[in-house]
Amino acid sequence: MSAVSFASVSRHYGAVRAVDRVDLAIPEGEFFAMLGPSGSGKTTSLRLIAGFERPTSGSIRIFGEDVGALPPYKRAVNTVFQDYALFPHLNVLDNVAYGLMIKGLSRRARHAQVEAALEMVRLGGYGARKPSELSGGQRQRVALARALVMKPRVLLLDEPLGALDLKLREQMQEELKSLQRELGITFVFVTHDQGEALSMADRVAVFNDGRIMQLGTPEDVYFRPQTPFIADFVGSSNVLPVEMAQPFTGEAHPAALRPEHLQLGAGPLQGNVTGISFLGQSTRVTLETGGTRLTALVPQHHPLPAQGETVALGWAPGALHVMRSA
Amino acid sequence: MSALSDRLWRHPRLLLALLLVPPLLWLGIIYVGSLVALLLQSFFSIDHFSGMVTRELTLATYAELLRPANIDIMIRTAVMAACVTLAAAIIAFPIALYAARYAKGPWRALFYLGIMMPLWSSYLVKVYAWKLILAKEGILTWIFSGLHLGWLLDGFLALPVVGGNSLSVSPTGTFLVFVYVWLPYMVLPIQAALERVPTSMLDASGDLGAHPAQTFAHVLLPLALPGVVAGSIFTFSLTLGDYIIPQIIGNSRLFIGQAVYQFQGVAGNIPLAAAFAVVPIVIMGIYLTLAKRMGAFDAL
Repeated sequence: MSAVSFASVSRHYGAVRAVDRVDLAIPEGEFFAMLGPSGSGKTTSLRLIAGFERPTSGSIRIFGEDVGALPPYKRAVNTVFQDYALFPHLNVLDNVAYGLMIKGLSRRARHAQVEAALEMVRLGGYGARKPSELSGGQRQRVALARALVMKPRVLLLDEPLGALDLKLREQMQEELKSLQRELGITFVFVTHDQGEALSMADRVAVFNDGRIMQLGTPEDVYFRPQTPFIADFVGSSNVLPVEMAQPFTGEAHPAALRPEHLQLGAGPLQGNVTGISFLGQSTRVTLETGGTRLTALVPQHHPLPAQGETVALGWAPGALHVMRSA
Repeated sequence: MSALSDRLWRHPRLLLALLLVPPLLWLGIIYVGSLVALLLQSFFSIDHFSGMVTRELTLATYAELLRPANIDIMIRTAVMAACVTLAAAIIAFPIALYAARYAKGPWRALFYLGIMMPLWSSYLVKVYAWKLILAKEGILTWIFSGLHLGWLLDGFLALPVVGGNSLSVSPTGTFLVFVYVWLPYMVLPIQAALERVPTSMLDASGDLGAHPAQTFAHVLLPLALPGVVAGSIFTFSLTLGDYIIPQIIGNSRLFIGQAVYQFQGVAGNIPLAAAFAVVPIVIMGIYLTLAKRMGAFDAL
């Protein structure tokens, strides 16, 4: 049985189709990422699972139970909000204990559980502080503890790392992943950051215009994008239009080519260098060929072309990925 | 012009001083200063034979203030202010909630207009209008008798303390008009407080298992409380100090404002009027201390 499943779920706001006939099934224990640009329907999908939104049509099941008529407070899911949504008038302990208090647990019982939850997110001893006295990363952990203390069967995370700086974000990615493995809870994670989705998730659903464009493992989505949108959005891949790709693939479909697979110096295409930017481990070279903009990543210590120079472009056999759904 | 701007840019403190001095003088001398002068008056006394103020520091005026008749006035005023504040809060909260969280676009503008408009017309006109509404021959009596409920109104007016010959000469009438006149001062701060509560916080409460009534009690109300307290400061202090409404609507029993008015006007007893003026300040001080102790400002 799936932890969460959508059967042709739509959510319309007037003429806007925020979520448009989405089908998906998330097995229990999976770390599932919903990836997409803003306005793609990923957050609305998460809110549909939580119950903050009701589908215009279609049915949503959580562990087999149709939750169409269930308000959020009756669903066995908990959410970590993008802005954390900690209650400013309560201290950390009471914030984390909120759900248990609502459940009617005694003060003593809930304090024991809250302490354990705070230990789990490495915030033991922070109970007496107010949310306003915590850093962004600490608030994020409190929000996580507040959701986890409820022992949800599905944990929903709405861009929980969006407000953190890069270093902290990478650290929290590791922690979230190990936490998920430890607890075995189904995590449904919304993000617009493809790196985050690829590094953490077991499977990724890429959203655009309210629909799922591709659903698969991070490797699938990254190396075998089904549409030019995914090639561009997920992997920042080069998209070779049909007329450019056909001579090499023999198929009337566009093809994706990863920037690190585009080689300069030898090959069947000619490109004009329009930009060179140093990235640290590699250098990104932007080229223009027959009206198409291509990007190549040149590793450290490799010879670089000069700005404005025309160079030959090639790729290793098999690097060109044909996108047959496009 | 440019030289002046450059000079001020290099000396930000000078600019700050230039900007702050006029309002500080206003606040310090005209506002606080005159209040202190007034309070000083309360430590003088009046010579009852000559009617002249004796400029010697004494507590005699405060002894006069604490006579039973004056204590009655204070209690009556404080109880009225508390009832008005409570009623205004109860009526204002749902209005503010609707305006802050549900009203959209033109509806919201209309709501603001509806709340603010009564403030733009003359207070006296409104109070006299209420006198007509509440009068024995007024529309309320007419409605009650039309509904065959005249006995209910008469029965209520026969009650001690709150009743009277008609609503317009009863403390109930005074109460109704106070609530009407001060209501906007309660709605606006509550609305401002409610608007600052992010929707995600209410979602979070529901997500953690709280049904809407619990979310209201544990999240929305505590977060709106500073707004309620701010509103109550207005309604409470405005009721404590007002002398016009109880003079036009109500019976002959005095409120603090009327007492101040009479003592400093007709009786020429400035020290006692000043001592009376201290009473609302003390009551507000006690009220705010209690509110703070009960955690009303925790969400600030």
